[in-house]
Amino acid sequence: MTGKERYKRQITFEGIGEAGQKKLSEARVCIIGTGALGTIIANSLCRSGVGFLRLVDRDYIEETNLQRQTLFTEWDASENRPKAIAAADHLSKVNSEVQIEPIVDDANASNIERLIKDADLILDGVDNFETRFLINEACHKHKIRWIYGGAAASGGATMNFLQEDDAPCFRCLMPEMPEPGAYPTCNTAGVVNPITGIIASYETAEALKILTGAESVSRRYLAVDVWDNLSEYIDIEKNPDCPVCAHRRYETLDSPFSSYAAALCGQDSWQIVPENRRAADFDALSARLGRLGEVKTSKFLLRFRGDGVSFKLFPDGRAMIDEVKDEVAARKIYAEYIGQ
Amino acid sequence: MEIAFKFIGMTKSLVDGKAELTLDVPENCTVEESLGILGIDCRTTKQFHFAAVNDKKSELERILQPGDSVKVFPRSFGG
Repeated sequence: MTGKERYKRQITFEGIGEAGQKKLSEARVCIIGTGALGTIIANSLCRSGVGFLRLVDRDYIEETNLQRQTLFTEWDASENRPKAIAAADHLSKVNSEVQIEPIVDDANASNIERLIKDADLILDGVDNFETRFLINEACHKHKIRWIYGGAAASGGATMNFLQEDDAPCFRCLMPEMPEPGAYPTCNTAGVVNPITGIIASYETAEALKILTGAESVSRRYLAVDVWDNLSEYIDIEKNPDCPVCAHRRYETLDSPFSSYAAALCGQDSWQIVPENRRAADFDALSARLGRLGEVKTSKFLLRFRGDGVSFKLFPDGRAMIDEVKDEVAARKIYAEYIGQ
Repeated sequence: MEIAFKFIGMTKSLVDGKAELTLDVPENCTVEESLGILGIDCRTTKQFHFAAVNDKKSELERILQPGDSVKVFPRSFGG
């Protein structure tokens, strides 16, 4: 299969043409979060012939993801495969010309700069504002353009952050990070798949425009609600006192990294990331935990269920603790079953 | 003076599910005060992200003028 034939329809489109297609083939894009938004973005950019895609996701696939996360199958869910790996496997069969790098990890202050530094563009598929604050700061620091996208219930929003001198950054749009619990979650608000498809498609369209140098790149905030039949474009001004884009203070990025816990959107789960990341000894843990309940291991994770406790442990020591109400309960299980 | 309000997505739940309404507000009323009349505390309400006046994101302290249109946006968080 020749590239020229594959991309014939979009090369014919005057907005892209031969020159635009060449730029796409040379572009490097990092998609952080390969859930509902990220799978649609990755699918479209892969089919469009973006030369390099880095797919970053900390999570594994569950049955409840299948309603909207378009690259995954029932088998992926039954095996609890990591999202980044499953997405990369699928896309490598769609377009073998694209170089795809899956990364199963949490994007956090210790690794975000490494994840984004060699990319031309970052696309947001994450489910929390903490990571978006980090992406915003890292992208501003390294002058890398990024596209925000978020969706819940029947509504969503997207905006480009282009690192232009007079343009706002995400912190101008959202001056303070909401406290955990201070905004609805996927659990409480739900989500219908047309809105994730629409927001992801807008993000993809803006990505294609940015990467090909189109003049029509949007500089406005777009909110859409598919149940209320509305699309609203809003102007966002740069905050002259913004800590990030006015004063270059990167408070989230520069905060010392330590062990932390995070509630996972759409699940009754908490992620525990230990301060010292080191390879988990699956064999030793399997032998110990096997006396307490059912243990299944693959090269991607160890699953434990028993004694009223359920969790998944990744090879780097990161764990997802299921069916717990709060961080304290999650940390207790981590300490008792996995160890410090 | 009359001000037109539009509530986007989840913010409709703050005004009994109404997508649009018109409110008579006093002179020199700020965006925050006008929403307060509707029972919305912009500083603590989970669903509230920001308000736009005439399609531009606004400071809560902005004083409304006759004919202004206020749109209230939720936080779009999920991915």
